[in-house]
Amino acid sequence: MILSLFLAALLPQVSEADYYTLEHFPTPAGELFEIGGMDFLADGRLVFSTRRGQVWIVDEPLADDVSTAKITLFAEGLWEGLGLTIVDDEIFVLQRTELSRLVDEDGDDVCDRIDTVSDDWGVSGNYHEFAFGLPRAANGNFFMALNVSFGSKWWIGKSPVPYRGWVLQVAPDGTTRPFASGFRSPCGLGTNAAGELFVTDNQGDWLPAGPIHHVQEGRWYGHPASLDWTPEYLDAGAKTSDEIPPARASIDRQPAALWLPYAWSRSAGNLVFDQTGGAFGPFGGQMFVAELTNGLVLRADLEKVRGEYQGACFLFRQQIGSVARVAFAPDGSLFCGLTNRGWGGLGPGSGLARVRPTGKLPLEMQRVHLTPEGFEVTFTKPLAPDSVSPADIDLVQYDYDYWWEYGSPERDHTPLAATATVLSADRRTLAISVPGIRPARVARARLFNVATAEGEALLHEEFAYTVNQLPEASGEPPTREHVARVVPPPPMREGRDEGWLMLTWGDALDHWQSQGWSHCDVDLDPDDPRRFTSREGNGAIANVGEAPVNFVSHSDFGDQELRLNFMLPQGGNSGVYLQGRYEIQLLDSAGKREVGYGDCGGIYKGATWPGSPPGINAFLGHGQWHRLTASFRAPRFDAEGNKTENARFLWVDIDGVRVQEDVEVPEVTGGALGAEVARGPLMLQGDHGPVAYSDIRIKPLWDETSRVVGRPDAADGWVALLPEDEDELDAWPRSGDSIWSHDGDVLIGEGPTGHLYTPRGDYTDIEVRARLKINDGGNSGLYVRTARAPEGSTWPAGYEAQVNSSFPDPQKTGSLYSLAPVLTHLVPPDTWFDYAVTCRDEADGTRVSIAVNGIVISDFLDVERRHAAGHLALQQHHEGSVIECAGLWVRELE
Amino acid sequence: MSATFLALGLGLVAALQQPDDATRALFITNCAPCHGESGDGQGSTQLDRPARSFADGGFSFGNTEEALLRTISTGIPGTPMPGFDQTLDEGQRRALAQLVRALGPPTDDVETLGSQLDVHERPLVVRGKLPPIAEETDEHPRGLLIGTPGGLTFQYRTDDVRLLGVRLGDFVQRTDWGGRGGSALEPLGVPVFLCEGGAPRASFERPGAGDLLAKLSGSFVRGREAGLTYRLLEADGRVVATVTERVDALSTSVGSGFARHFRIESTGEAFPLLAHVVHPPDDATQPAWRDAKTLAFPAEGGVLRTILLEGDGVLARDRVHLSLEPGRALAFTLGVVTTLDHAAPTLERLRAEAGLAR
Repeated sequence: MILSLFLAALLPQVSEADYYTLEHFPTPAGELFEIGGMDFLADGRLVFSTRRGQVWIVDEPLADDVSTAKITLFAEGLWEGLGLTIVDDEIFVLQRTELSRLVDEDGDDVCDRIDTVSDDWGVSGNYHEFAFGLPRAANGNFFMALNVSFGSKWWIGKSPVPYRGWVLQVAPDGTTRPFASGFRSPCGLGTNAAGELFVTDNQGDWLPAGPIHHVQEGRWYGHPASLDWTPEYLDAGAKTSDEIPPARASIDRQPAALWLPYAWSRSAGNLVFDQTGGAFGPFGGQMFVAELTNGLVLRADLEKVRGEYQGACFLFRQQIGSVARVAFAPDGSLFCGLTNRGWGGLGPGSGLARVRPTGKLPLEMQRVHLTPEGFEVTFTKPLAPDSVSPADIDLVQYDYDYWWEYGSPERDHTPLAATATVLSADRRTLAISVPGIRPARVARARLFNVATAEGEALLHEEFAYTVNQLPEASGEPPTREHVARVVPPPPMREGRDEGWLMLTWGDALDHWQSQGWSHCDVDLDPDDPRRFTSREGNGAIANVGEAPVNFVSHSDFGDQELRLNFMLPQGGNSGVYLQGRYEIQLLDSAGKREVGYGDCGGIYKGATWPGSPPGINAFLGHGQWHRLTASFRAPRFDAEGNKTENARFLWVDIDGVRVQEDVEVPEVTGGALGAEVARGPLMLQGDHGPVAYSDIRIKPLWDETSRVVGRPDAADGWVALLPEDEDELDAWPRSGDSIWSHDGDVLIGEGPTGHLYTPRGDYTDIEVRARLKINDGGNSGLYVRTARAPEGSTWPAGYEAQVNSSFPDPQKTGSLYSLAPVLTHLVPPDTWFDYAVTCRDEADGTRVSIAVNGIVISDFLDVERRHAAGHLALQQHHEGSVIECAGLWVRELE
Repeated sequence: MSATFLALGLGLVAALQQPDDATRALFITNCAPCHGESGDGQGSTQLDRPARSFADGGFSFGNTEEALLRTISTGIPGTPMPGFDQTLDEGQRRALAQLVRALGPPTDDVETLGSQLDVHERPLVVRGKLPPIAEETDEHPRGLLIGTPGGLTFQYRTDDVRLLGVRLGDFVQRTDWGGRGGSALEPLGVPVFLCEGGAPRASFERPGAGDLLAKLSGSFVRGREAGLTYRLLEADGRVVATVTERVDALSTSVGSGFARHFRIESTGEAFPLLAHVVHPPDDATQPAWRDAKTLAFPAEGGVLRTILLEGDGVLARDRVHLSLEPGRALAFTLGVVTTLDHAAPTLERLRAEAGLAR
């Protein structure tokens, strides 16, 4: 219920433009403004830095017509610029590796000198080591923040060098000191009028959603990795655990002042405080927060409760584009710097925009104050008398899990009921009595039917208040609990991707019929939102080429779980056909209250079947990425090919919202590839206009036609080959110096290059099954019909089913090595998968077929009949590689 | 403001165009004497080694129109190929670049990448992660490239400022402009000089106190001059000297290469300083020839790598000895005539022209 309310609130609110205009500055041809920092010179010119390491100057940024703005290059060659501040007309830019002062010695508006103010922090070389800034403290020092880096597990933030995960303070003379710790990806910093520092962080490990922290010196804000550089850990020679919360999590972890609802904010940028003296509207002293994924600006208002900040946030201005940076101009205009490269977000994904008040006062919740009885909401204008009754208020409270997992769902959703509402004498403040508000929860509310006496409706109906503590006057003792609660750590992620086939990792197009499709980055065309502009990148698979066809997988699937991301332009229309036959419709259905089978999330109609409309319109808007997930059961057929059971969608979700549940589909839907079959390819419609997809994956589920069905059974002729122990293993021939061991369950190959052979060496026509896992950067292979490598030679002859998830060799798991290469990274490293290799002589040659997780990936006819008979073998490719084998079975074919 | 981005993809159009008579005449006058009228490298001028055959293609320093324009404009340091930027205007040089390109084999045109930085009239300094400059050397998360209009690229690590090597050719591909960023720069020039194999020792040593840390203070580009400033720190973090290092191309009567101009000032006390900036080809190699300001080392192919010292300091086989005094900056220029090509001096030529080297 609540989720649907939020979705409704996210639908484009055309009326926002009545109060705040939005203008995008033109970008010179050939340039890309990926803005990371902005500030103003004394003469009113705007200076901004970009992720491309350039600094640009905008003459007359406040001119009425943005298209006349003159934008010139001041400096280039920096390594990113994700923070920029001007002090006495000197430009300071935070690069990834240094805080620099940019000096124009001769006054020609071109930078001549770049002074290193400070580079006293570590950079190990990982891509994620961004540096963000750059507000100033009351004492004139700069504040900056350092991302954690990632090791072999991209979802676990690490601090291999000082001071990853810290906020630093840098004095103008370069003196640098660590200020506070516990951050993950603190993309945005801002200070209020008193010089107090506030920092946004981004969802990930230990970060259930996006917080805003009030950052004070010496405190720790919850992400463990940074603790590695505290005296306690340094003195003990200890490192924080990837999985176990540190003891301090329950002792002195600082709660976030505010948790941004994930539906509103998926990637926050920086924040600025309104110190415009009313020029920007009635929100003086409040903060405005850049949100790049959803492409909007949020507003937040904090109050002190029991001595610490907490408060409420609201939607403010939507449909701007991927806002990473906001800055107030001297006249009170809000400038928005856009970028989303490599991160994704609402288009446009780069550029400079300007939000200005029209002078018309909106009806908004100006502030929300927590009282012992509930909330006091102050509005920007008087309300109509008796305009809000308790029945007009929906309230829910929730908390999160604090754990190593990436993000957390909202937990313990508890509805709250308003019992009374009292409007103040000036009709601007509404006291709402809400029994049962708990501390260490977020309370989210929606107010219906709020209007002025003139009938003007409330512009944004919702707020989310982070209740760290109840007010002292409540009589309750202060709580030590957190909104992000420490919970027993879930099992490590290893195995989470097990069973899935990543159909667009690595070479995204290799596994598909893809004429007219490109692997690139796409943005909405700023001049025509019905189209995309594309550029080099790997963020999307889009039909931006000439005469695109439907995007059809080479492999066929039966029962399956499906997951993919999609983005549509304005008026976009596409569809996801499971088995190439049953379509989940994708359509720009933004704003529609009544939805049919032809709307986004509908299952399209067939020749006689009427289709199935989505249960709710979950489409948030064009230019926005959505995640589609579905579970599907294929139709069943008897031996004669007569259908015995219809196809069925068990469920379909868009962004976690269920739009279809248990829908039986008795026939193919419109535009299908052909008649119903047991197994068919995934097809994404590409001929109905522009569409972008990303990260398409399928988890094949067990069905009667799977190539791998559980553990092979001796009754079906299968022979288990894996040695039971080290003694049996010793009897297996080897070549090379690799080290093979057996831990009782699993055969492990490591060490230098070498191969391990089955004792028997006369296999001809066979099926082989293996359960394998290769480490990150590792490389192995399962050979059939192989002969031992002769003395002095490293590589044996034979057909090799390649095992490689992330070793640089482009031939990945599923390849028949050098004969049928597979360039897509179907299986992530460190993930168990089921391998099946079938090798048999046919009339025209030797056929070698390779299946991964039950799906045939390669099917190759070797007309040269290269290898006639031989051993099975496992490869250990190089030092550092680790191959694990949890099962190896063979069945000889008739 | 200079246009920064190299717009590729014009070449196919250029290749299809027929040169006009004026361009053809320019070619006959300026290019054909060495490269031949047909561009086959069989010109009438006697050279140590034949000039480039355009017909074969495969230009060492890039076959894009921009790359050829740069080569025609600035020449190739260390070879007989002169620069024509003083004698031909840009339109003429561009027309010649198009003609030369059209003489070569058809090329698959490179798509516009938009992330290649090119140096024009003004040097360019770029910070970023550096890939290993040679096999068995490290990547450097903190690095910096200085590109000069002559096509030289000076590659520094900046965690402890040290020149790693010098390249010749196009400048740099900013691979970090793709994806999420953070990837290593891709310098495009060919390494023509490696400092101690690309993994040099610390550049400065204070006898008795050991190696000094060279901590970056900044970079500068003023007109056609570019360089770095840094501080020299003892192990306890005390700053004992400041250094300005400017780099550019070097042209001498015995060949070409590059020069590093140092200016070093003590922060307070007098002390001797060793500058390990000579980088002889190999520790075991003795100079084949030397005088007070010149060292010539044998290098591959019988040619010499020649080190030239101007200004303060005493040149030793692998270092420069300096005596710092408070209140007086020392300045010296270290020139390196590289083994880039056949035109680097032989011992006989160097002896014959001894004294003319500078």
